[in-house]
Amino acid sequence: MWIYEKRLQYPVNITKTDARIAKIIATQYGGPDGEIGASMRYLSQRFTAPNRVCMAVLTDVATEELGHLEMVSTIVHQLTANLTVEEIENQGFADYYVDHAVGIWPQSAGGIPFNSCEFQSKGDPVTDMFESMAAEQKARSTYDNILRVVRDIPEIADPIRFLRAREVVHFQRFGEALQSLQDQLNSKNFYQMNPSFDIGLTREPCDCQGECVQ
Amino acid sequence: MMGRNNCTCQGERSKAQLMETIGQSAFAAYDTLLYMDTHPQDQEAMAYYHKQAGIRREAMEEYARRFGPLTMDLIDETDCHSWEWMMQPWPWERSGKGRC
Repeated sequence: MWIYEKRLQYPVNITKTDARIAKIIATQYGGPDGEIGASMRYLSQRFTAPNRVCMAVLTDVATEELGHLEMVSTIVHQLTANLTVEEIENQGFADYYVDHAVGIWPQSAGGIPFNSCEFQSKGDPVTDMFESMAAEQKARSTYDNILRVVRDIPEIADPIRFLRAREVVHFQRFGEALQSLQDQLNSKNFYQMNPSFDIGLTREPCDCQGECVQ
Repeated sequence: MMGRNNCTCQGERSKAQLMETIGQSAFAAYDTLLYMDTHPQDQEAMAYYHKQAGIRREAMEEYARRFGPLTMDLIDETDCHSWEWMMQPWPWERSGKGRC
């Protein structure tokens, strides 16, 4: 269950349109390392998470990512508001415009539609947590690539810097969640063989805070 | 009708100031929430969470009373006969066109 909060996590107020930059930034909505993929990845992985640290971190980071995809969409929306057809053609936006006008639709900057193959939910906690940590670094790299293009435009660079900084924090939290998994490895060594499938689903999730030896 | 919508009396926080307070305290609270997920025994962090969550809640309630609700829970706080949930601006709108 989620309840909507009618505000952005960090303010976006873009006054000058630029369709070329909109197309680049839109990749962080529905591109391979975008916020939709991030949120869906963590929301999916959490069901086979074997301890409460991982359940909490995956749920709470996924929730924040929903706010981030709203921020990215808002940036794209404001960058493409009130464009003329001439501006759309001159700024390399005609191929997007013909299918969506200036509607928000999840695709990569290269035009590849979002699909769930952008992320994994493997049912193996260590595999999944490494996947999530890699995702945060890939998103951080993408924001770095975007920042090289927009760094002289403060009204765009400012919210992008905020989003980049959150990837760093999320990577840290997932790293700590991975540590909580690794701390359980010695008990029955069950992470060596797809534990959520073999053991986890029929067992109550571990209720300790990273210190159990079940 | 809510006569004082968008009006700020002396000593009151403006709509923008309130929104900034909400944004900052909500961010501080949520970032601390993520930290608590992996450091559940940190009493200092937990106290900081409660402090920031309190600032957020108080500012959200004042914002709802004076300008409109930001969540479903705060619709009851809004002193207005029109459906402010729908009337007030959505986050992607730049112009802030909605009002009571």
